[in-house]
Amino acid sequence: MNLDRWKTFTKSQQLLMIGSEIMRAVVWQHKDDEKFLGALERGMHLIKLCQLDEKWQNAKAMLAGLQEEFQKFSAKSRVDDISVLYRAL
Amino acid sequence: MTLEIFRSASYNSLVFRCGAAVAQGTVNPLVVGSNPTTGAMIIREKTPLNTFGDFIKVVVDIERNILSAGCELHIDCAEELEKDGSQLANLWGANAYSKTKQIDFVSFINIRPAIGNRTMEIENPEIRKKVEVIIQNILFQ
Repeated sequence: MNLDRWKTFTKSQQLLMIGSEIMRAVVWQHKDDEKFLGALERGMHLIKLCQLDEKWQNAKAMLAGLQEEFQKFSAKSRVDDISVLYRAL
Repeated sequence: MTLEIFRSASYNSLVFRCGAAVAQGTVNPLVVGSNPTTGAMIIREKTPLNTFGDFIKVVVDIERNILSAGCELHIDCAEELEKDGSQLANLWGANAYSKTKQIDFVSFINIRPAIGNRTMEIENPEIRKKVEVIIQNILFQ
């Protein structure tokens, strides 16, 4: 996904796409670490694209906080049910 | 009680207004404007939670004592309230569960380091309490 295409989506659509990566991570959490981490990596990439999109100018702190949560799960400093991130969107 | 039903200009959706007292003793018209795209509704008076299913996303305006519920994303509910005159600073996200009548205070929109809320959970106990009371008054019968 490149930035130009990403910018064509609404904020809601962008969050739903991040949400779909979270759901993928939910499926693989505690089952297949490679797929789990792959979903998180993709989710963090999409958050990064949001940070580069002017539509999020007033919500950069929220994005940074979300990214931090992804990083915690990725680094295994959080091992609880990752579906909490989906409920938070 | 008078009841008016008209079509919302912004969303082409039905809007219901009727005279009624609302939670916290404030008297306001009930306005339920369902956004067909996001599913979000602004709710100002008691509405059974099971109307929405087992689990719903909720955004509460802690100053106006109203909430928006039933959206796909918390930001959709927040945007509905902002269009209705709410200030973003007064909006907090939560999730409500009809069967157990539980509430969790986890939402992406709650991350606001500038006012001391660094995580997705509402950390300030006073704000949590306000959100809880408004949800209980409006959604939990």
